[in-house]
Amino acid sequence: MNAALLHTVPHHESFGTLIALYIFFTGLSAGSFLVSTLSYGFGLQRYRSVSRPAIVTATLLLAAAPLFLLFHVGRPLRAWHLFVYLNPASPITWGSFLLTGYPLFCLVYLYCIFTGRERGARFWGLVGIPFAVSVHAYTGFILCFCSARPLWNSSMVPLLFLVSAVLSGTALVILVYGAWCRLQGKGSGACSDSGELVVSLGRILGWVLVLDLLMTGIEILAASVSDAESRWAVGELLSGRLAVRFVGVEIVLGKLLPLPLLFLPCFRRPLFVFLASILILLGILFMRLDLVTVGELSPLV
Amino acid sequence: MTEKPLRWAMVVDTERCIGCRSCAVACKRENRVPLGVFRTWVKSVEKGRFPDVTRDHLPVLCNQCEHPVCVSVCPVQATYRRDDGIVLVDPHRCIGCQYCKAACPYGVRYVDPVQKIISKCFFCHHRLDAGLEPACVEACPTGARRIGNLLDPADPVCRIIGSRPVQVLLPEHATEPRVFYLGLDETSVRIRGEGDVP
Repeated sequence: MNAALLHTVPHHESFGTLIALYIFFTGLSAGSFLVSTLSYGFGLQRYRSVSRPAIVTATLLLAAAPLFLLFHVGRPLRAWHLFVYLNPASPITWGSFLLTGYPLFCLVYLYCIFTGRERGARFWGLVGIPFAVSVHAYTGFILCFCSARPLWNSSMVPLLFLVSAVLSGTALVILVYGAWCRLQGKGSGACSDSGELVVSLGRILGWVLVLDLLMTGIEILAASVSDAESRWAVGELLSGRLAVRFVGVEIVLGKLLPLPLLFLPCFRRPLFVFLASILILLGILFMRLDLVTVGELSPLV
Repeated sequence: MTEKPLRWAMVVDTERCIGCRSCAVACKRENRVPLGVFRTWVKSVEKGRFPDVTRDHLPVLCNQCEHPVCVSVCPVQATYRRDDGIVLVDPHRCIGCQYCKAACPYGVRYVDPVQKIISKCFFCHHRLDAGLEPACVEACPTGARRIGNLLDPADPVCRIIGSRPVQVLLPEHATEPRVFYLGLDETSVRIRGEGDVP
């Protein structure tokens, strides 16, 4: 059938760049928190030196993230409605409480680490893990609950968000730790074996990246044989309006290029791990932007 | 005397629609809808190849769903369903987070550019409550839109829905819309541009 759209009204996207950035920042925060629990929560002593930069990063980013929400909503002064007229069926209501509870956990945990309360840090670190996981997974559920939106309404989205949170959080912690050691001067205290530690974190980063690629692949592959809207959205990502952003920046630059940097023995040096971390951060930033954009790229009617 | 059960529903006959957009204009005027946004509009699609061409018109408005996604995702319960089925937005409670707008499959919600909160078609509930028809129904010169009580078997709208082949928009999302169409064209629903039908 030959058909052409003559007239309709303009549609404006609901969740734009601000929401994508918000998701990016909560992901970074949750990921950094999980990295910091490697030593204090799970007793992996070799990662002890990164715990402090990691938890400081996690706390600061989570303090910054809700600002994006306040700029996004039309009536920010009514934010208190979220706690008074709450709707348990809405993921945003879950987030209202997670976003107020989780920073408190971070602060207590941070206090224990910086005052050397070993047992306290272990307790609050382990208890904080479900919070860190939820505070990011709930953003996945926000998209997932939009039942008509292609690629959002998928059980993969909350899981994919978790993996990408760990991925981007680890990459950020590596960079923050590197910068921190550069400022402190090599060989001093926590930075005595910084090179080795960065390379070791790089291996973790590599395996999380493989998991992320796997899950992204599954999401795209399953959507490409799903309903008409999903197939159309996959087309836009792979060869349509979002192809440069998705295939070019997110997949090739952000996820495929870092693989050899993290796994090939000839690149096993901190410099290449830093480079891979920067690329991964870029890739995950675009992953947030691409996913938020593709769901609302076109009106459904 | 007990009140009769009431569930407002609309029937839109696309074969009667001539695409004049009187409904959109009447709605704008009645509800003071700001520039750039619409509570109802008519999507027009040209089909066929010259000289065998035809135009199809699809009036769109809030479906006042039986299972509205917008209501279940609203974090402050600002959007809610009245007993008569009309889905409303409490302008004093809405924080303008736009979650309902993202979740609505039909794209009928908009951000009021002046008040910065969400708004949409409310079936002109202020007119219905006063015994009048919605502005779009009253303005339509061909009678393509009709409103009535879905729960009253004697109501003409209820009779059309019960006896003729009616369709709803995007039935796959199981929202159970209360706007029913006669002669709904799937191509007109799905089309996005020149020959771009997903």
